Amino acid sequence: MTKKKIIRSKISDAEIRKLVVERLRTLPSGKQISIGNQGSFNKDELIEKVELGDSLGKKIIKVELEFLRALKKGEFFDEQEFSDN
Amino acid sequence: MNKSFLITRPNHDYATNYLFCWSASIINLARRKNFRVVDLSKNEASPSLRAGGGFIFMSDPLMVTKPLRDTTAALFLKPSNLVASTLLKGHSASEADVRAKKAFKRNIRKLLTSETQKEDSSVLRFLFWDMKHQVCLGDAGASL
Repeated sequence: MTKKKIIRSKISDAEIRKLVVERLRTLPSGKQISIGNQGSFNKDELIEKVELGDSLGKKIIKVELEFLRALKKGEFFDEQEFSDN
Repeated sequence: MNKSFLITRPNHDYATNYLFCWSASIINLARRKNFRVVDLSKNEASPSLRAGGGFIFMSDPLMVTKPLRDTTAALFLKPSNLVASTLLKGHSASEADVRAKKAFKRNIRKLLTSETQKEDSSVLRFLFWDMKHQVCLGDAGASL
């Protein structure tokens, strides 16, 4: 039996921030994103917040990572998780 | 005696203006259902009363004068309005939660199709967040 070699490398916070920033660049420029009572922001302002690493930036990172994890798990195509029942 | 329906609708910035306008249909429904509506709007509603749930929505600033016609914001605000409208129709809190989540899922599914433009599918991350973070606390079987 062949053993699958699992390579786990730790991704740094800086790399995660970079990934999130690149993903945020795909947002349309002309839209506003309103976040709770923290205000409304355009794409460039969100990128700035992520680069700055303040509380809003951290929240945006969470939003992106949760979405990416769901994509990886195939949640959107999981009949049980994503059915109307 | 009629049941009372209290709604707080601050309107002091871009986001609250959207929520202010979108909640008008909830007030109309409450009146049609014979609720005594107490509408704390604009200056009567202190911003400190706002729930800090972190509800996220995307909108089109070009529609700022007509938020109800903003199709991007509708993807978020129609499902979230379903919580209140389902409760006003006499259903339980858990049913309101489920219906709103289903509406979020329908919008997410629509945007996952290959015909959807890349620009439109950028809202997916925020819709997914709202759906996942909507919670029903307390007595799930409670109804009005």
